[in-house]
Amino acid sequence: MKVRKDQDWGRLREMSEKIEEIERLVLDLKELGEEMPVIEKNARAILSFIHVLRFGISDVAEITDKSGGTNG
Amino acid sequence: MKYWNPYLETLSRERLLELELNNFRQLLQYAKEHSPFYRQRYKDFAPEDIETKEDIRRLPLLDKKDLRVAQEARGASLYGEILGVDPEDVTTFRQTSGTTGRPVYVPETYESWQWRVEVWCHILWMAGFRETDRVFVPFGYNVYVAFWEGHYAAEKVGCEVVPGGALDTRGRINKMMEVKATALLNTTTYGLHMAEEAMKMGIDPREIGIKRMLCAGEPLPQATRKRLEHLWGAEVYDHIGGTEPCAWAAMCQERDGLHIMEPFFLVEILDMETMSREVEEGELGVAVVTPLGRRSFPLLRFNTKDVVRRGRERCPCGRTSLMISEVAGRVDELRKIRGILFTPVSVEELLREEFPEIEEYEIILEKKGAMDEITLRVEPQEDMEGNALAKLSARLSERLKTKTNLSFNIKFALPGDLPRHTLKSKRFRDLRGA
Repeated sequence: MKVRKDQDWGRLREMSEKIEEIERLVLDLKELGEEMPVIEKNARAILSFIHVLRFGISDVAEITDKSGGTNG
Repeated sequence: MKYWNPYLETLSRERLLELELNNFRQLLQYAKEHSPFYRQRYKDFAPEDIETKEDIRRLPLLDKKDLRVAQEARGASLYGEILGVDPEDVTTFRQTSGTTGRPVYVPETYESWQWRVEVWCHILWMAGFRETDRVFVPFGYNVYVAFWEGHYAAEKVGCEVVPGGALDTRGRINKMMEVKATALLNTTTYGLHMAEEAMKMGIDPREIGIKRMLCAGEPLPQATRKRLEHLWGAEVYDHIGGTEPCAWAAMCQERDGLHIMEPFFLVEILDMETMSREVEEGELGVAVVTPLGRRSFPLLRFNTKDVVRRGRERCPCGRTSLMISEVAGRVDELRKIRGILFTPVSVEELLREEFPEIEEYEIILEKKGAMDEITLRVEPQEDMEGNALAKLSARLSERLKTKTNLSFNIKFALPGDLPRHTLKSKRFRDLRGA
């Protein structure tokens, strides 16, 4: 099985950081919106996609950070 | 790109299991904090007790009847004590079919629904669905989950989705041709039925233009899958799932077994006798599924009662997830007949592979005195008679004996006599309790 290059794992970590950043921005937006429906409901939708991205990207980045980035 | 998520889909086995155990611990913690049902059920278990897959087996299995009991104590919420979120956060109601008892209500939040859809994006991508596909869904959507996830996932993948619910079968065939559909989501039985109907309309199903088909709702033996491929001139893919556990395994373009959708799910395939041991490669077992990212309706160690055969660990596609080589049916469809374990799907496999002259069939199990008797009723093609039927009967008896170790009575039905199924097949009847 092909081992991913170091730069790919670096990219994974960078993507994970971006996901966290997006979440922070959306939570800030939510706070600014003060429950205004257009903000509240669309922010909720974005946060649902963050949950999905966490599963597929951030969680993988976290465990590969610990192990040094090996795959099968 | 070959993979929807190349990092996840080619992750090592060790890392996949680590992810699953992490998520299982988090889900257990979440379930205990948010659901009175789980708080009580798992009061003697803590997330830190879970270090290995073997540790997970100390938690009790969850059955459909447990879900019903949890929902009977409804209180303020329709979903009862099992709900893992505030009732106001629920955005979608679905329910099970209720064929085995009172339906179970399955709530999703926007977040948990998107998680389910993401799993389906993986499934569709593995089956070759792309932005250039126009996906026809020949069903009406309703309180059951069937085809909803596929529709939303196809949209997210970038396909164009054509919902074909309000039409009859001929209307759907015409509409597929009119819009130049390239892909189908349907049940196995309906795929066969549409092909049969198209031919009655004088249309070769291959000319409809479908390039890929994803089947749902019932087992798809390899022989039936190949028959659908031949009829439609399309690639045909299988997957397995349910309303409660979501879609947890699916076929890649190798079309040889199903990949478990790791790490979205932690799946145990346990021996049927004790439900305490993971089976080895090649063995049949019952699938116990934990959807790891779904908090609205936490399910830990849900006994799906689906009987599957554990497959290999590697696939030429490069994905590292565990595989299932066969879906053998439901636990409640398996029968011991004269001491021999029988699966109705084994008959379908044989007939589809070796007996193209049989249009339709039905299996009937009865008690005659002290003995179980099994009969196969078949509807041969219209032009068969006399000697040809005698030879067919002899060949069927011999091949069924080899395949199942059971002696079958063979009876012929007249053309058109046997029921036709459109949504899901019901070809096995056990009349012993009648």
